[in-house]
Amino acid sequence: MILSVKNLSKNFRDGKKNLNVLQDVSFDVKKGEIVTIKGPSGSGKSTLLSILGTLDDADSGKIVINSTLINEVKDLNKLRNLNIGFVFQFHNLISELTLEENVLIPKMINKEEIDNQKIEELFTFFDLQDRMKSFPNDLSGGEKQRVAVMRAIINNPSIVIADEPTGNLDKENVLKIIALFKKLNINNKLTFIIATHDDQIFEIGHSKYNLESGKLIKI
Amino acid sequence: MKLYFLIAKRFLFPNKRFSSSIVNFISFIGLFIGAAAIVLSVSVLNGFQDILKSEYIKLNGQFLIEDYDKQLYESTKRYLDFNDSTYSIHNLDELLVIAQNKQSLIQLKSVTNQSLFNFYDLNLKENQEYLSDNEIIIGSSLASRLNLAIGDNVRVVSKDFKFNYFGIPEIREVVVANIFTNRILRADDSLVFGLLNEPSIENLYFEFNNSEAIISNTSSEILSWKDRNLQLFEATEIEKKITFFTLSLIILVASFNLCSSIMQITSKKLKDLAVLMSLGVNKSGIKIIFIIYSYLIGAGAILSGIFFAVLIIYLQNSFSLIKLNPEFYLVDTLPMNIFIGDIFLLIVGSLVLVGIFSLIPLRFVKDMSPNQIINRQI
Repeated sequence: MILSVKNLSKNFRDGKKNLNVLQDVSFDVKKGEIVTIKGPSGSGKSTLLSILGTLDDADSGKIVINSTLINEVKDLNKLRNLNIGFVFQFHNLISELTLEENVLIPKMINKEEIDNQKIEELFTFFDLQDRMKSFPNDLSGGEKQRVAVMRAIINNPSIVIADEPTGNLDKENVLKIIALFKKLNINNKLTFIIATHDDQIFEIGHSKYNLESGKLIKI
Repeated sequence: MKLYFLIAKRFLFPNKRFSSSIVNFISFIGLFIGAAAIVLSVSVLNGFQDILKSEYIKLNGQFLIEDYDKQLYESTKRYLDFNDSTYSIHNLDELLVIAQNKQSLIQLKSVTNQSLFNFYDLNLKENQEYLSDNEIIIGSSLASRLNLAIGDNVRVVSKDFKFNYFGIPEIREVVVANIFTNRILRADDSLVFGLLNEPSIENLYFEFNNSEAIISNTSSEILSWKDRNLQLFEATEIEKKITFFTLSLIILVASFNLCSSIMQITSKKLKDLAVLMSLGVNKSGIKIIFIIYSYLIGAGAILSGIFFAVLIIYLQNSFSLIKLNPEFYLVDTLPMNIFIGDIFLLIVGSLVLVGIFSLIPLRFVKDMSPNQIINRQI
């Protein structure tokens, strides 16, 4: 298993009310699997992904990523840098950096040597070879999201967590992103956990879940 | 570090263009002016201090050994001879000078002919190589006040009012052999040089310039030019420190601007910071980005200000751009001199100040939650 989640719970306090956003959520993800999760707005999809991505803490439960129990990891930043790639609804590229620099951020954090040929090949794979030195504001929404995907996979992470990755794209670009995820899954054996409202992208999941009232139910 | 530097640089100069916020510009200008003002002001004070020193040394040498009872005469002379130091032995006396119904109390410095023309630098009106027993050299201010010229006769009366056997104060008539110019501590108004024929009298003073003589001489108390003018020297030092401190306030105010500039940029870039954290940058890394950011402005401005000031000092010393009236000042051009120690102190002090003020707005990073910031926009 690349990811194992056991009895994950998360509560929020809203005034005097206690909101059980996640209740005893448990599931496993195999390497090379695509897991898709859907649910209504406010159902806790983003919270679940934030906890899986080590950006937030759970109140209880265990998460094991790549045989590492994250509750015991001291340097979560390093674990996140090496094992987890994020794709957000908005591309969240840094507008002052070129596309190449944006993509290379995870490698630079890890102080890795940059193989320029491999970077060029990656941009070619994403059909953005002529835009390496461009800035994000010069790109369309679909192109920006493709760059965000490149940034998420540059360190060859164990899991790519995508929170509404097509939520801000038109139909044509939704199809491009779906095709891209499938291609990366098949060619690179990348593991995806995708939270979405979009039925088209939901359908690419090998395992599909519905999150409602804090409970995760396999479909 | 490469990433942090890259991001800080790009936040400061977005898209490789030299365009930054007005607050950054104000901070830069403030720090630039502050650093330049400190260097220029301190250099002028140093310049005048140097003039004071060099002019004082021309008349008094760098070091002094006092020998009131002639006990140290032989040993001191031996030390100075051994160290091959050019030195002067003199005697000081206070006298009243009377000329053309005008009188003035003066200090008579009696020296040997050799010392007078080899050790001291008197800036004499006329060339001279020998002073006879009945001749004196007076200062230009005294000459002007008493209407004296070279060759005039003056009468001198001992301040001790020694009476001759007729009950009249002992008066000697001497000739003004030459006139020197040196306005340090009103020397040319109150100091007169005469001849010391016989170094057997009491209250002898040794003046010398060779600092090596100090090391070898262990028995006598040696006074440096600073010791002999302690109050004046301390006054100039305090003036320098107060100037330094006062002008540092410009840097302090500019650092406040820098602080608000960082507050502005951090609130503008909050989402980018959250994304960086999601990619693996830790909280210290976020702080480092903005510390680099503030140092790019701060260090850039301070070093530019120092460079600008040093350039002005160089131009002033090379081309005498700023003239002074020598009637009021000791020199005809503004003296400027800066020491590496002053620059070092300024750089370290300013950079510490910039560092402190850049850390203040970064306290928020401690409680920053990338998850909340990223999800807030969805």
